[in-house]
Amino acid sequence: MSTERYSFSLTTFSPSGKLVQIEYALAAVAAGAPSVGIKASNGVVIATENKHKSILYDEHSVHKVEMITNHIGMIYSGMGPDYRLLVKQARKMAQQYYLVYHEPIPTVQLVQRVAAVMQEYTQSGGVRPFGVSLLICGWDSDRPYLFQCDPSGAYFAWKATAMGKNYINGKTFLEKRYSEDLELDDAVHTAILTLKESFEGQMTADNIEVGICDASGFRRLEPSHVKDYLANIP
Amino acid sequence: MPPIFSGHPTMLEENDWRNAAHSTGTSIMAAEFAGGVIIGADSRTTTGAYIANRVSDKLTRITDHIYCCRSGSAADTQAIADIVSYHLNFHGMELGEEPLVEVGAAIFRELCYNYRDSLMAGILVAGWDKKKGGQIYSVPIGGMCVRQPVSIGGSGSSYVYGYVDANFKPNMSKDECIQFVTNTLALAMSRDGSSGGVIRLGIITEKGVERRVILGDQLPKFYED
Repeated sequence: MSTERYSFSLTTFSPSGKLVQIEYALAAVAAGAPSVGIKASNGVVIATENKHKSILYDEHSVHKVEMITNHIGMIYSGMGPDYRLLVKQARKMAQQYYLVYHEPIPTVQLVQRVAAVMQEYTQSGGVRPFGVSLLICGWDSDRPYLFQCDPSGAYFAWKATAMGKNYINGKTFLEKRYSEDLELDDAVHTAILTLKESFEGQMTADNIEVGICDASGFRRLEPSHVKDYLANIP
Repeated sequence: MPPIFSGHPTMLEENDWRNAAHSTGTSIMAAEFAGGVIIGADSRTTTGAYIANRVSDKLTRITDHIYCCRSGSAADTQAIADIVSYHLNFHGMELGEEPLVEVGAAIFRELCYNYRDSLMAGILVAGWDKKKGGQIYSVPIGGMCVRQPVSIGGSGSSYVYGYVDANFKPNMSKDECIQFVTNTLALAMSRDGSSGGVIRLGIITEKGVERRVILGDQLPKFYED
């Protein structure tokens, strides 16, 4: 039995001109696990809390920090299953781009395509907006990029930002700490400190995830590497 | 489609080299050795009797550890290789690790079999992965797929089946295997009109790929009176 879609959109305008479903989606994001992104002079760092509700969870089996291409990585705040779909689509779009242009997809191009998908779900029949905001980091044309994609389909280029629980405090913290000549190492340190601001309990290498992107590409940091950074934090 | 202007077929002769499809009438091969595989090919691309490219590279990268040797239609094999690259990169991204050679060969086979009526492609998929080491999969015209320790392909291969059967040994050293591949291709290139130019080699091991070229004057010489 195939899904018979509604032909009408479920995201409709309120009298005040708001799309309430998108507002609600943003609320879902704001209730999600905190995530942070900082652009340094020589790279970008993205990090997120990855807490497990029970010790029975098999840590490190499923990741939040995901690679899209060799030079682009992604994290989120909000609903995990929605995120997985977007990761898959982003990966496909990156490969499709390469098939046509024989060039690794520029970060901006990928962000535009992902954002277009998210917008589609606010104006199509029978679907709801994605309950995630994405942080996409990349390196191309010899410079770092950091973008946020919202459930509405809007995207923003950031020097540094925070999403999810306590994001307002996170952003205020970053406003004070950010400088244009931050190096990647310091940026990682700052990102972890920002996460710590909203962290309940003891932060360890097993309950946060960090990814970095620089001239040699994107990679997720090994827990042992994250441990080294944590050791330098009071 | 007949020419638009009057019945004088002086400008648009159909069987002329100017309108013939680019083909890689070719000599290609791949051989396993202790530690990996060695792939080799000639460098001649023809349109009819004209050599369109005398230095072509028929050894195409799919991933850092998986390459393919292309024979048949140049356009078909390039398009297929690009599509396989797409699928294998996506697959590797989802897995979070290097894709297997067997998987690459399976994707080649899917395309070559399902579109067999529209394609003319004979492909050797060769590479190294941590599960089975060096492997070669032959995907000839028609779209079958079979693993072999040594495999030859292209129009020039017909002339060297005997030489390969007589001289291939499993677990050769790297240099022994290089000599074996070079000799085989040189013999094929000297007898097949659609093969020639230089010999291009690829040595694929755990460390990745090492590319070599053997230029015309350095080709091994056999009996010539």
